[in-house]
Amino acid sequence: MIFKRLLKLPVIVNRLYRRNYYSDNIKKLYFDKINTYISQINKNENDDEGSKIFNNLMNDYNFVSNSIAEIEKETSPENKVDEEMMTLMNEEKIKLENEKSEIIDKIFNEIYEYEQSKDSERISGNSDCIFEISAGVGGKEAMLFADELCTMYNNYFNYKNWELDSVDTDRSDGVYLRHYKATVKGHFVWDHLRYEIGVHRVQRIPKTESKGRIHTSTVTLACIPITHRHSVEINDKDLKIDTKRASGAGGQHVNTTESAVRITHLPSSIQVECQEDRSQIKNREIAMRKLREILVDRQIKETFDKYLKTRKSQVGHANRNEKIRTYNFNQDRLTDHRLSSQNESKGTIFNLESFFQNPERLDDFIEILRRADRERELLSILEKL
Amino acid sequence: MLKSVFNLKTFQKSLSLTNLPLNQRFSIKAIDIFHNKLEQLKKENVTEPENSLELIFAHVLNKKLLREVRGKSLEKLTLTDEETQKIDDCVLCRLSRMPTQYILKNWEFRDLELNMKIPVFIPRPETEELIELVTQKIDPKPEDDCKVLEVGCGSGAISLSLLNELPNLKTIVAIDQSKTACELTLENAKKLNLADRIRIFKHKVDSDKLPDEITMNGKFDCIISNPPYVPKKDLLKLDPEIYLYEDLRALDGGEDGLDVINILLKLASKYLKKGGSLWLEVDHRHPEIIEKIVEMNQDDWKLKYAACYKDIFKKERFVEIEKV
Repeated sequence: MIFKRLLKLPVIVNRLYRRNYYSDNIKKLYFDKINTYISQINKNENDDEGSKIFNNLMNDYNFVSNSIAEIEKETSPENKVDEEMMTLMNEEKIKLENEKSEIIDKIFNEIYEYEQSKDSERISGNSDCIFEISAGVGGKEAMLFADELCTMYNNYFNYKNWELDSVDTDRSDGVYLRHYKATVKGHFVWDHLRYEIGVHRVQRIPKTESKGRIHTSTVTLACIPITHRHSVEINDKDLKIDTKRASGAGGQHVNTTESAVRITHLPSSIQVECQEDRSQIKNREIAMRKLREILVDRQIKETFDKYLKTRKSQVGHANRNEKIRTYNFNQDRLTDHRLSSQNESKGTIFNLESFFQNPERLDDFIEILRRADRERELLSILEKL
Repeated sequence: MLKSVFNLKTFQKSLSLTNLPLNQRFSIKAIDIFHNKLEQLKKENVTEPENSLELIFAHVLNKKLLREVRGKSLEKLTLTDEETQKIDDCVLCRLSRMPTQYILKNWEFRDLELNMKIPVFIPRPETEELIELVTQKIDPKPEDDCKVLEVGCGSGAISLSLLNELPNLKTIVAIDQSKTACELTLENAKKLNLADRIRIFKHKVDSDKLPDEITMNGKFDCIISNPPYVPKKDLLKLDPEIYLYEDLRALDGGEDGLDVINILLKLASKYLKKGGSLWLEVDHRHPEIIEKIVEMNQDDWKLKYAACYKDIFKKERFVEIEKV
């Protein structure tokens, strides 16, 4: 356990270096708007907390920029400063510039958090999720790729110390992965996995291909946040239980070994069957558990669909039909279409094998997506002003 | 022509070279045997042919789940000679209408796997629900000295399930008129490590008196029974599996199926503590009649008809009677 944590240390250090969250472009463009934004919040007298935070940050900012201005004044050609002093001043200036950009980052972050906290319907990033992988177009090749993705994400969950629950694997012929479903529990699961939702496309020469042609197949990844403690009440009256014993006098009059049970939930007309066990009462328990799982799943999906309908689909906002990423094995690269639409080089990374084997790389990539999403959301907030 | 003869000779040679036993050289496909036997069973109109076969296959091949001997998994299985022989024997028994539970020699009841022996009554799934009801109503605390009596224990299903599910229940007294049943209950109790908490007596309840050795520890908090309740006229209509193999004393409830139930009511009035209860599994036509009998003898017996519960097939199956 400790060893595992220690291994992650370089990654964390690396992350600290990257504190510079937002690109300089957006900082220059929108810094004026921040003033308008903060003055708006100050006007809103109900919100003391918010204005306090922003005012403190603004004070810091003014202090730093004043210092910078002073240094600039002193180093200006009119004041004849000796060279030694000049270098010292310049070092000081660079330090202050860095500090300034950090403060701006903080202000941006606070604006983002502030806007998010105002949104009452927001799904907490800390929510657990139902995670699903299904093979799409491409037959066996799609299933093979689904399997590879599945292994990659499982490594990732492991790396993140997330727990898996009620894992359900459906393989055709016991080999090819048709569908995989699991409940993922842990720290900020939704915040990370939401950017993976969508269609993952793969281009390569499949192992099953004899003529060396490149195939394109797809795998769909879905992730549904569990926002409430969903519970389903199943009314006995709503159930129709069918067994081989149902007819006749029953009890001592009948001796059967047929233990298959079929339960029909009348309001939803869901049917579950179980004939796994020799004992009927066990089969009934298993069938009831299955039914309950299906109903809870359904409820979670409904809540999420409702949530989706109320807002536009956007990056990381879970449009299951959106093509988000292409893995091109021949060129040994992967391209994220959401990132590359903004900046060609940003959305592409190379060396797929190491990407599939090192969960750190996936984590870094998700971090980039998170940042891009934040930036985009901030832009839209500030543009409205 | 010559060539083909030559080929045949080399083929024979290669056969004799392999010193493997016959069954491994020509491993028998399980699915072929399965279909062959299924045909036989269907021809003889044996009830539940598929299910019986699946159970027999699972039993012989030592598989826990039925899906391991079904569909795709079955296609992959091969049988050794010994296994084929065993399956043959089992199917032969089934052809003579022996209940599958007797062929397998064990069967599940709730969480327990009980041994089965001809002609001891095979526990039915409805009785599993009786345990569910009773365990909800009586749940003794560690300091309680709760006394329970079971009349007609058969394979021990009810008593052993109660002991298994109520760890604070110290002992149960179980009685049965059949010596084989008493022995089987003891055998199952030993198998499940419950033998030190059960006292078994061979006794036939034909009057409202119990022998002193059974009642010496005082009155009971609970009497539970799955008494014979099949009316005499129904007996002949039962499947041959039941009337040929099962002990009819466990089924035959006399003219209207109430013979033993009447005795049990009297026993309950005499040997239950105040507030104690009698739990019965009965025919779905009985609860009404029992309610009337109890009401008529209220002054005499001091019993109260407390409730009637349905089984999952929505048939009135279980009766709870209280001593007041």
